[in-house]
Amino acid sequence: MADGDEAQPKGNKIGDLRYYARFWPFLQPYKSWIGLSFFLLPLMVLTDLAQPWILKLAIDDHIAKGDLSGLPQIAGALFGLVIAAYFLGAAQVYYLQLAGLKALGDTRRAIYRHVMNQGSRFFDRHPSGSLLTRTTTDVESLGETLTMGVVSIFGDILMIVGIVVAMLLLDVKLTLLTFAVSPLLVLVVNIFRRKLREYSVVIRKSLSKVNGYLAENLAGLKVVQLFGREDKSLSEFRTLSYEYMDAFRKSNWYEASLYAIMDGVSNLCVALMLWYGGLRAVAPEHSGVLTVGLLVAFIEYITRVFVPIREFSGKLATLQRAVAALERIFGLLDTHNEIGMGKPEWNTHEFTGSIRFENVSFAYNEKGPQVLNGISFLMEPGKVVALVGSTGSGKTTIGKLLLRLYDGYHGSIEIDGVPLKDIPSDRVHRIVGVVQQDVFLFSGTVRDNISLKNPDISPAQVEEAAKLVGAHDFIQSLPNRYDTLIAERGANLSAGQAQLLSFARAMAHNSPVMLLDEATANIDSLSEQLIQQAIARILALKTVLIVAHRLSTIQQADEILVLQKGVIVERGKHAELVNHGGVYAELAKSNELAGVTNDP
Amino acid sequence: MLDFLMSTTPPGPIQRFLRTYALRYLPVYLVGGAALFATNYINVLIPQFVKDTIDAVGQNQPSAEWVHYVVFIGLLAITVIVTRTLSRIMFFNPGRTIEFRLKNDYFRHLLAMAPAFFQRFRIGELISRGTNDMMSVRAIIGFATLQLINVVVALTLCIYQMIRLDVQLTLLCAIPLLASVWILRHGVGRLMTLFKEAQGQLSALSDTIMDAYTGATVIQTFHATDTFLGLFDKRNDDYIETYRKMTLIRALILPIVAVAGSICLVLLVFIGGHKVLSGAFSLGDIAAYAAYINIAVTSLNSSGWVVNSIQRGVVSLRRVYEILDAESDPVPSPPNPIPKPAPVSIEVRNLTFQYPETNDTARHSAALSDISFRIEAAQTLGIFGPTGSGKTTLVHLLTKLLTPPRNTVWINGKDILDWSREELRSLISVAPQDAYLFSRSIRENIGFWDLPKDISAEKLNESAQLACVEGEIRSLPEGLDTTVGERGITLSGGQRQRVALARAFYRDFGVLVLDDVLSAVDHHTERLLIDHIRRRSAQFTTIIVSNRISALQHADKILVLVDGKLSATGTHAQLLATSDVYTRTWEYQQQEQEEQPAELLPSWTTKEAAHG
Repeated sequence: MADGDEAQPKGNKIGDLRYYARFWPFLQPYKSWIGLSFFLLPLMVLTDLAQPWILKLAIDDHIAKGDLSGLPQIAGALFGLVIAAYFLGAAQVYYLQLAGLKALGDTRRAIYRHVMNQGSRFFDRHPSGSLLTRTTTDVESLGETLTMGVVSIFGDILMIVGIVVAMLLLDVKLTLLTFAVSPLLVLVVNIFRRKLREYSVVIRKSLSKVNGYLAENLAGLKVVQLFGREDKSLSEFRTLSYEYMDAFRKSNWYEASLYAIMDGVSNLCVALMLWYGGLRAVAPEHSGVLTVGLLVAFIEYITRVFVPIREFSGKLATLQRAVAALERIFGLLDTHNEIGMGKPEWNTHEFTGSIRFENVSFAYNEKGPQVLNGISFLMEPGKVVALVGSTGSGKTTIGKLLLRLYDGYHGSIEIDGVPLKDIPSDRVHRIVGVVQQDVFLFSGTVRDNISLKNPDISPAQVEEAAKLVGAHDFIQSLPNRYDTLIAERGANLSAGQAQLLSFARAMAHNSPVMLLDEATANIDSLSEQLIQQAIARILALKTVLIVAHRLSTIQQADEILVLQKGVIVERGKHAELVNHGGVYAELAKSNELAGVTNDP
Repeated sequence: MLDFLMSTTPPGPIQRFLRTYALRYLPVYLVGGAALFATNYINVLIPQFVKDTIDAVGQNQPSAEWVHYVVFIGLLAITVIVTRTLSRIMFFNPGRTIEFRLKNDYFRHLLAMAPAFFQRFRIGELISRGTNDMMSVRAIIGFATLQLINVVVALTLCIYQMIRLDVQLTLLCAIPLLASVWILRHGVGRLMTLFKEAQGQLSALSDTIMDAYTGATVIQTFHATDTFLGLFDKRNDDYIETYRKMTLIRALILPIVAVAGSICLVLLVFIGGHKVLSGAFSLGDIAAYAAYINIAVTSLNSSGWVVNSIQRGVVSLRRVYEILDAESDPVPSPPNPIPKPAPVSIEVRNLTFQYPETNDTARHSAALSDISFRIEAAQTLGIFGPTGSGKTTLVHLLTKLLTPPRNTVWINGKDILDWSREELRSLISVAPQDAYLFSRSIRENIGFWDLPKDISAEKLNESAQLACVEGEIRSLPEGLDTTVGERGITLSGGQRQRVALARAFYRDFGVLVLDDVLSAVDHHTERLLIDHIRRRSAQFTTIIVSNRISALQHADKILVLVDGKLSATGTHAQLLATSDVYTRTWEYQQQEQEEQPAELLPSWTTKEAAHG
């Protein structure tokens, strides 16, 4: 519900056909169902409307005249019509809604795929909560309007028109008289609907506030209690829920009156018809009688026409909401931050993993500051290169560029002499494995979280990877070992355990190059030691680019790059840099690292 | 249906609910009931006048009375507008008010619950009971009851009139009508089951999507996009399939009663036709009977839903009452007025604590066994121990978020169980481990202790300064008015903790508890914070929980917890001599801390300059 999702579109956009037109491709695969439905629609309306007509025939031409000879046939025909109308109606509604439903599923899929194909720039700009809202809530509300509004609005219009035509055919004057009240009725309905719509906005907003407040205060209940704020929170809650109740109570008056008025008006119509029929019957010129059959048929028609009239303006409002939802959905689908495709010929090439950065400069935003400036370095297979520097020095960005998460840098990055831009990003990710700082765990088993359900990774490989990084022992201690379910975002694991799993994941995916972003998170000392051991093992086995936060980790690195504000200020091995007496040396000296250097 | 009102066995939730909440609106409901009865009566009366009019006009020598009948119908039509409106209002509005009151009581009750309760009921579950179930409960005292009475009254009156007109025809009509209601009831039941299923599938789908979106980069870098798309497809298809079933039921079952009504019309034409010929029926009777069929169809249609929504309402009410009936801890009443907070001594004697059994396989907080210690007023207590050693459990017991056994925890010589919640809360200010912030402005988060209108700007600034977060707040686009969370900016873990710390500083207190809040801040800030606290430490008793020793080393007493047991106690210097765990950790952390500047070059440079 974040970022103003509730906002209604400005102005009247019901006529804004562009959005419906853009939605058509989603419906197109199901056009045969839609066609069938639209083919059935007039049949359904006809069979429905014929019933009162036949009823009139039966009463006026047979019962009233005392001629029962044709009655069984008429009754049979009426019965046939009832059954036909039922099945036609069911099929018509079902196939149209089915098409809508499938189209919605496809829309959701399209949004999901679109999002998942975006580069990191996209995710920088769109919080996942609001993306989720686009993919679920907006599609849901579109579905609501499609199935409730659009689908039935055609049927309603056809039905209303059909009834009016049928009534006119039966008796023009009586029809005009009956609908004499209709301008008034339309006026009343519109006034009430407008009021109701106003209240429904208030109700929706206040309900989401109440629910939000409840959710937030329960989630943060400990804080509320620790601050002895129960009474204050309760009074805030009361205010919100009073607002909700109040809006509803007011809207109830309009709702109840509207309902009652529609009911009363249909009775008034009956009175009007009787009065007119009576006048005709007793008039001296005897301009034709209002027959009982006609009256029954008219009453039937009136009951059928009032429901769609009552619902009509409500349905228009849902159409408006559909446009709002479509607007947001297409707005998202129109946002592109994909990474270029690369050249397919590199998709099968076996890379050895030598990496070269040549004079690379980069900014996250065109207007934003330069994060990297003229970065050059070479990584030979089997070597370890370490990046050191303060927050904002650009060391993490180098890793992101290597992973092809961002395009749009200047200079060149090459793997085995092939420009990175030419290698499909999927291929890049098979060459460069990664351990990220923020461990991403999803709800699934430990095993799935390591293999990411990659069918090429066998259970044995999963365990092998876990053993390699020292995660095996703690996994064995979990209730169901590798099949233990991990709670939402890894809530049932410690930070250190989560880290170890992400190491195991990277090792299981077995890529020649490893990008290691060392965690700064709060990890207890025991896990910390395990993690340091895991890092040491990975450094020994792979070609590694490590973003280091602890100098002890990287003393054995083949090259250390010291970054400051996007520029490499020093480079060399640990010992060289210490002797060089620059930034790194001071860093090391101040920490009296010299003393621990020789420790294992 | 109404037997639950009559039952004399111990009052169940329904009776209690009606007694507590609904009884006072009885007069309103009675007026509503009367209006409802009038509405239905008039609705049955109108066809009668229609019949009279037709028969009067249809005679060879029309009597003038027909005009009266028509006028009557008009008048009745207008009356029914008023009575119907009233009947609905008199049922719906008390329903809304009752929902409001029940919801408030529900929330108030939850506010008083201890953490153990929230292990039994998940937050999501409680929210759903407080929202969705409330809605179903409202049906019992609103819409559903109205409809129920409506159905009963309308059907009774209507069937009476139908039987009066013709018994045989009515019996015949009953067959399709009853059959259709039976089918409708089952259809609606199935629809509800499917709806519930769909809700579950939607939430599973949302989880899958959320997982994928938050982990998009990882999924991409591990080329697992297709796997996750497969997962998404399965969930999405499941959900659509359930909705397809619902659509099918809706299309086939919902119009079924109307179809039965139309079949009744066929019967009316056929049988009624013969009756007219034999003189048993007038033409007006045919018209009236057709009208009754319409009324019966409308009522029966809603009956299919009514039974179900009342059933659901009752189930929901039980669920709500399950929460309302859960015992909250008995609490002594607070002294009046609550004394101004001052530093206190805290003593713990042979404290053993076990969590109630939970079938939660997730990591649960550790139990404690046989803990004893004492600190004097205005002293500082450090609690050290690895993750899962029971530190947080101990803090929860000292702040009475968990209830300790009697005679184990004393504050100022008085058993903590004898302290009123209000007094205790006003005494102890806590910065908890998970820095939970509310999605409101930073100002209202820090000034959480006060109502938004009472927040003091001066205290706000002071506490932000103390918590070393003032500068960062100032650099935000809207400063203190920046909204946190979902609708606003996302703060980093460290910023959240310091805002939470400022929140703890904002209020008056006699005890300050920092539950592992220093872990997410860098060493430089940690030092500053400890410094801020130490400078004021004479004004309050301090409890600092941490697995980082640098945050504890100045404490008057440090507890070393291992596996829920007190492995050592003493000052920093004493522990370095006596505790192995402590010493090893200290050495390791010393080394680690020295390396930290790689992350913090700027602060390291200034420090270095000072050394030089």
